[in-house]
Amino acid sequence: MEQLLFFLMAGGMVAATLATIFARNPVYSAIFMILSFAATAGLFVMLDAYLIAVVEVLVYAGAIMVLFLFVIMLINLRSDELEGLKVNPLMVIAAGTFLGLMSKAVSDLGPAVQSRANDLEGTPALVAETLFTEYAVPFEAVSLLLLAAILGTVVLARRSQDA
Amino acid sequence: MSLAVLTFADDPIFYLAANLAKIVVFTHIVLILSALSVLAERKVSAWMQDRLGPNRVGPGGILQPAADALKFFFKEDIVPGHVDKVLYILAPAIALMPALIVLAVIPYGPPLTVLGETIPMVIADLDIGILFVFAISSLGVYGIVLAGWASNSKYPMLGGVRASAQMISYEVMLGLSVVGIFMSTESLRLTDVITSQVDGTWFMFSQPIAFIIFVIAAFAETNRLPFDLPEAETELVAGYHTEYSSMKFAMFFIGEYTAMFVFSALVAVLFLGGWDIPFMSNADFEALGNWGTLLGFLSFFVKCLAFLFFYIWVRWTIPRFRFDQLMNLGWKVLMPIALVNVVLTGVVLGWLGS
Amino acid sequence: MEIDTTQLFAVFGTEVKLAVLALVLILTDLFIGKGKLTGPADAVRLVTFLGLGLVLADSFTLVPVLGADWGTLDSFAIYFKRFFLVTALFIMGLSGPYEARFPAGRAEFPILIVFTTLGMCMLASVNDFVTLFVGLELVTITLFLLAAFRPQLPRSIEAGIKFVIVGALAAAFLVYGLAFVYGSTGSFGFAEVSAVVNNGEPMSGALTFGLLMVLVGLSFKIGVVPFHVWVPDVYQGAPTPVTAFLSVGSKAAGVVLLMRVVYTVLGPAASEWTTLLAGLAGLTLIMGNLGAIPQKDLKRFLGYSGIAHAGFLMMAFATHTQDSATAILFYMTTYLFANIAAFLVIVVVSRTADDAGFDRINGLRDRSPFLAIVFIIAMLSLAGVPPTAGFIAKFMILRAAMEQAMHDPAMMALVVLGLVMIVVGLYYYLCVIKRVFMRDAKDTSVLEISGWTKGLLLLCVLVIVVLGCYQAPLVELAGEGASSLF
Repeated sequence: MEQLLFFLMAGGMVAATLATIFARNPVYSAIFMILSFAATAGLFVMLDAYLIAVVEVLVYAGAIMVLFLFVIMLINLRSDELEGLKVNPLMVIAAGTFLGLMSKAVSDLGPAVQSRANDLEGTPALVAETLFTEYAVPFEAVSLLLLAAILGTVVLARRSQDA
Repeated sequence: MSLAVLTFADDPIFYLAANLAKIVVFTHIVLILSALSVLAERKVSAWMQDRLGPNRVGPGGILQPAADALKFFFKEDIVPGHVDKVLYILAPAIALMPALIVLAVIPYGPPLTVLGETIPMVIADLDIGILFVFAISSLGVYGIVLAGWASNSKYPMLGGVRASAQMISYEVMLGLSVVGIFMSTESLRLTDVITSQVDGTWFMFSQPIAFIIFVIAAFAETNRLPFDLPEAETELVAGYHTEYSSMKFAMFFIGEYTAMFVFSALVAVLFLGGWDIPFMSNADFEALGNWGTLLGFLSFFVKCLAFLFFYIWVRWTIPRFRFDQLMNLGWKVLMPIALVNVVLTGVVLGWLGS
Repeated sequence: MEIDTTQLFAVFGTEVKLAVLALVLILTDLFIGKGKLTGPADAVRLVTFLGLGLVLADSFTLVPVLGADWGTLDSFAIYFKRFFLVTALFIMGLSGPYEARFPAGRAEFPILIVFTTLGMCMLASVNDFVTLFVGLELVTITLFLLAAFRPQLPRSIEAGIKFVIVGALAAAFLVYGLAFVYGSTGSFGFAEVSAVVNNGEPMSGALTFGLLMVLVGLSFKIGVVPFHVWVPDVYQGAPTPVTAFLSVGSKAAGVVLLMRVVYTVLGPAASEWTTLLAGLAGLTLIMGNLGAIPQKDLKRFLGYSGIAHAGFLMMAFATHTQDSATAILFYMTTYLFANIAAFLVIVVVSRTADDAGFDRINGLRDRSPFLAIVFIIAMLSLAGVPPTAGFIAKFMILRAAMEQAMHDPAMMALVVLGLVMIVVGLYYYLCVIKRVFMRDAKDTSVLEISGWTKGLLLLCVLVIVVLGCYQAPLVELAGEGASSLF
């Protein structure tokens, strides 16, 4: 049962991601990407990481992708206006090397990860506890990062309006 | 309050049966209520405008929803030639699904005892309850946006763009406004929120600012007047569903009214004590056994219906906002207030705690 | 795990002060009167100078304290915190004559610089991979914004967008690698990962892959070939002060992290990576130096020169001895002053124009002899000609590499290549210098330089020359910093 669900989610994720890349129409790409996020959230649920699963849907599928769609709709690109990807031998070599290294790495990872997955628990209380103790420094740094990003974005948006 | 909750391991068949029953019963109650609320909408508006409203079908027009449904079924299902077929057909379903999924985490009443097993009156009592609600309801916008885009015509497109901007903005206020509640309950589980209100005060009184913001955001999230800009009929014909007819249109319609019910239920759960009845404590409900469940159940639905009435009342009372006013209200007024509310709650809680 | 707050403030004191400064600046911008003589932007500038100056002065009172998993304040961290604060002050000085070109963002520019500096200072103290990633993003994202700070100019937007895409790619490599590192060690802490790396057994494929990806992610920041393609375009398109910040600050941030990862996390195991690092160093040296020759734009030219310098830094990483770490610290400092001087000259000579073609320095000798001398000294230092500081820096790196080269043919080849490339570098730096004397300027008006700018230039030149002749104190300081890594 669990394996079946895993292959359903993982397969769905891979298929949706591939579809994102190969879809000719950017709106469909965005929708497949949402599907991919949903499948990822499913995988998180299977790892008992409920909070992360919900955040994945809430933030990525629910907010960020809406903005993506928003922009795509406003630009309103039609598929025939898009240039296809030109395949360059260097790209193939780079991608191939990466794939080879990655599959070697993933095959090595197997047992090490399985032994650790069990003590992962994703309840809000536990996540909050690690976030505010062990990772307090990066947490605060992220808040500064967001502040700086807001500031900069406002400046960029304001000035392109003036110009 | 600790519950001896039935799990799959205890008795798989009983567990499955109980859950299936819950799903079927609750979904149907809500869908029927949604259909009736369409009738209520027309009746209340008529009453407010000193008219009669629908009164031909059945006694006092009570069967009007059935007649409407029949009409939708028998209308020709037109798919205009200029649309993006796949998404055009998918969009109404996407609009309806999130509202139905959210029904799964809403606690309708105190736990019921059947054959010695305690069954919580919620389909899935999630540890992350409210986040689940927000996550799923945030997907509702896709139905509208995709309908707008797939229709491939001007007004739906404008409606879709407005909807995405509006719903993303107000989702932020929605989420921020309830932070205070969860700071005081120390749990995101909706049943915990209710039990803490049953023995304490309703959050409507202890979190008045959050209550007002949540209600305003709920109106914006369900695209109801005064925030119905995605379908503003005087500006955009019918907004995102201009190109839809027959059952596809009906699905948007049901989706909208189900979403209204969901938000009414959330207001009831978060601010009006859920199944609570004033002057009753958790112990009282437990002492009454299944009668307590029934009482709680009724109390919950009374609150939902009251809020649904409020929805309708507001619709026929307040004029529509302009789009820039909507955005200014959200980002420049509600958002800072909601943030201040979070800080205030923190200060008060810290002060009480020390 | 509870965090000891006193210890936290001891380690991250500089960052906390910078964060307070940033917030004060935002409020200054908001509240200091718009109608008064000193506009909010001037007030913000003033407060930024004062604040950064105070934090810098304060950083000289820092003493190494015992850190924990979440951060460390060793002499290495202190060295680089000072480095970044000095850089930020110079960038602020450098942006003075340039600022008028982004009127609407004048007040926000210093604020973003402070945020970036905060991120960089934080990176100097990282002791685990999570903080590493977050700090790096703080630096990178603010730099995205700064690179696109003149959206009226298509080239600035192009720079910003290219930088965003490359930055995202680099971050993706980094995070992907971190996932593998965590997966195979169960920890993000440098000490724990290092313990697994050096536990005597050969590294697992997953861990190697993870660390390799981390290395790739960081290589983007420094501009190591083959992750250098963004450098010339972004350097050319970004506003000049931002280019200077990128070439010094951002690169140093990458170097800091790479030093932590190579020297602390990999530790002794780094010797297995020598060939890889040496190969990257060789490629980078070749690409940077040969790419610089045909350039016609000063900023682009300095971009390629920056890649060439990244090659020398990589050579030091391949060496991975304490001497080479000392050499990197010294190298970065000399690079800081030479580069700032060069960019300051560029800002002055291309005053109102948006591009910085080579013809801007034609006949600089006649237009402003002072600028000409400063520019020449900066170029000579970048080329590594005695008696400038650049010479000492290159010499230190090569000497450290030579010791390794005695028993490693790959290192030997790299050292020889490095020597050849110094000669190539000499050629193109001299080509640029030639223009100062030999070519006639189209516009022969005398360049006016404000007292402030003059002071900054003088300071840079003094440091370059003094360090070239008497470098012992700085070498000692660098050595102290480097020793805390081992």
